[in-house]
Amino acid sequence: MRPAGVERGSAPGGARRRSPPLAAVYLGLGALALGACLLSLGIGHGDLGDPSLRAVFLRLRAARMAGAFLAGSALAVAGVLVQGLFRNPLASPSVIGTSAGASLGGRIALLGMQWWLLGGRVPWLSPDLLLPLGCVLGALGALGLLFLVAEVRDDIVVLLLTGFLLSALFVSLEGFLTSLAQERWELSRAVLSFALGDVSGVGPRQLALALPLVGFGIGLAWTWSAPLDLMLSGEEEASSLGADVQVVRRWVVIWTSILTAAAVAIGGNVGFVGLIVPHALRRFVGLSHARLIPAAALGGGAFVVACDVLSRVLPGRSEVPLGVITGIVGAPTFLWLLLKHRRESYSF
Amino acid sequence: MPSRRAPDLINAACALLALGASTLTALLGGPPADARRAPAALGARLTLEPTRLPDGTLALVDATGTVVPLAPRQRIASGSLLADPLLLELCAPTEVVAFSARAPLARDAWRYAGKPSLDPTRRVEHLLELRPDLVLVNSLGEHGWIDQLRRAGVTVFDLGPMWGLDTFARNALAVGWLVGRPEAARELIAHFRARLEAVARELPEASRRGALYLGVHGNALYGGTRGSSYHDVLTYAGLRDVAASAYQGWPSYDPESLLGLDPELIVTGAGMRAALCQRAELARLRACGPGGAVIEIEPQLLQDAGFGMLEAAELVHAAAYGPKAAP
Repeated sequence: MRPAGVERGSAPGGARRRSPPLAAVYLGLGALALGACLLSLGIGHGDLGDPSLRAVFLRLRAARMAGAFLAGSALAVAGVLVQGLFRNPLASPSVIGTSAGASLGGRIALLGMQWWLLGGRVPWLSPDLLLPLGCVLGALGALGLLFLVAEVRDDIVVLLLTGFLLSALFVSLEGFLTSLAQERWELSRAVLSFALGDVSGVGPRQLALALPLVGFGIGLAWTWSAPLDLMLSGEEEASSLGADVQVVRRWVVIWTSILTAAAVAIGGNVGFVGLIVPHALRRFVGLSHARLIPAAALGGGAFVVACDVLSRVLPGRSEVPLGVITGIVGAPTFLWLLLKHRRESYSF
Repeated sequence: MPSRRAPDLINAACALLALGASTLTALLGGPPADARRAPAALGARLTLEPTRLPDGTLALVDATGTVVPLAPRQRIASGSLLADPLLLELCAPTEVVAFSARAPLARDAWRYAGKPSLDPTRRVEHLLELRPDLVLVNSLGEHGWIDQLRRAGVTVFDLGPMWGLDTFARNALAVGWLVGRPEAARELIAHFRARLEAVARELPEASRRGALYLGVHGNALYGGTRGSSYHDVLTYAGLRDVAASAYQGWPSYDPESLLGLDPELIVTGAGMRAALCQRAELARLRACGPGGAVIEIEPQLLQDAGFGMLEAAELVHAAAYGPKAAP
């Protein structure tokens, strides 16, 4: 059973309009993703015409492309989940506070790296893994805190407000750590690079760390599609239609957290993806989460890979940070979407 | 009811599986094949003297604990602003294929002309095209690109943090070993230290004036004290760094803490005296008054954490105590 407006062709607010066939949408998204990936492999600072270095360059670009794709997919699917959970297409994965938690964990790891370099190192841990592990642990810590507070009162508004407050707290703590990092020139540079979002240094180990999180995250998120569809009609109605609202809420929050943790671990702070990709795709695939989640995985991946390619081709002494590009592309795109559909209601 | 708990159990199992698989696959990947980790016995830090490995080869341990065998190097690339001047002094021009991205911004940028300058953190592919057999870096935090270079078969030596003269001297010795000229490096640093110490040697400890380094950027007041080249410049110029007992590294000050330190002299970049002393709350600083002085030095020179420290110390000394009489 689906609530009204979940069928394809239903625009937000229930207005019906013509949409391309679903297969065409998926094919289009697949083609976009493929095109972005091919561009990502073909465009770089090095010359692929050099046979002795071609394989090395392609390996580097493939890892970078995979990192961008995983981060984009994870963020876009996380966006679909929170927008469905809070019944608000303007919600982004950051509202539950776990992406700020991941970001805080990453900064703690960067500061911890100083200790690591000064001799306190853990022999089985490679230095390039400290940051992604810090992000994952930070997101899990934030998730624990969120549940601890939200368990006291089982209410979606309390969950939202707790997420908002945790986010504000973590952002403040991030600011404190950033101020500590300013005492070291190299460290402040690393913190800035992390804060601006970057996938240029992604290697196989970071991919190995993120892949299970993103794979399971998207797969398990998809299994919650039907209950999320029911939740679009409101929690009471979803409950009367057989959905266990508490369980849905719990697992949607957990999988959102795992997805955002993976995304931050790979690419740092990459904004706007979780907001605009689901929003843009909903107009083509409708409100059904079973259709929207795979579309968002493809579309989000393609979007971030394309932005990463753009970061390489824009002129400059150094690359433009990825988070800057997603913001510059994302904000006007989102504004355009808002203006284009200004007559439609922006609630489900 | 078991059926109602099934989603919880399945999701919990999958979440644990995802986290476990993620951690295990990442950790089992291990370090890159060519980046041998230093055995515990060798110590974890950058070593100043080479160690003999079990196979008989000599090696240095870098700041991340990676063992780098000593071998003849013909294509050296610098990704470090401290390694740039050291390579100029210790290598033949033909042995260096690239300098760091900071080289064209250096005060003596002309000395780096004719060689590419690269930011290895963002231009790994450009760097690989130069086919370096050794890349020197100072990294702290950004390790992804170093891993990329090592996976591509390039030997990378991480010189570690840059904390003023001591780390510069350690870096110089490490670079000397890596390029096969340890004695030249030792001599270079000894000569440099001797010249620095000579700047204010005649000055009695009791007559040294109190000073601090300050950068004024908008409303922000940034310092540079113990553990930075700014502190070394002040100290070798014959000044007493008044911030050194309470701060370290590159602290940021608020006006209140600055007024609390109230040094007799402030060393800053050219053009910053007005930005500092025209601020109403800071105009009462002793350095802004008739008895003190704000010493302005060319920013590029002041920010040089390498050989430029000597000239900066000489200029600061002359401004604080008057020019030395010619011998």
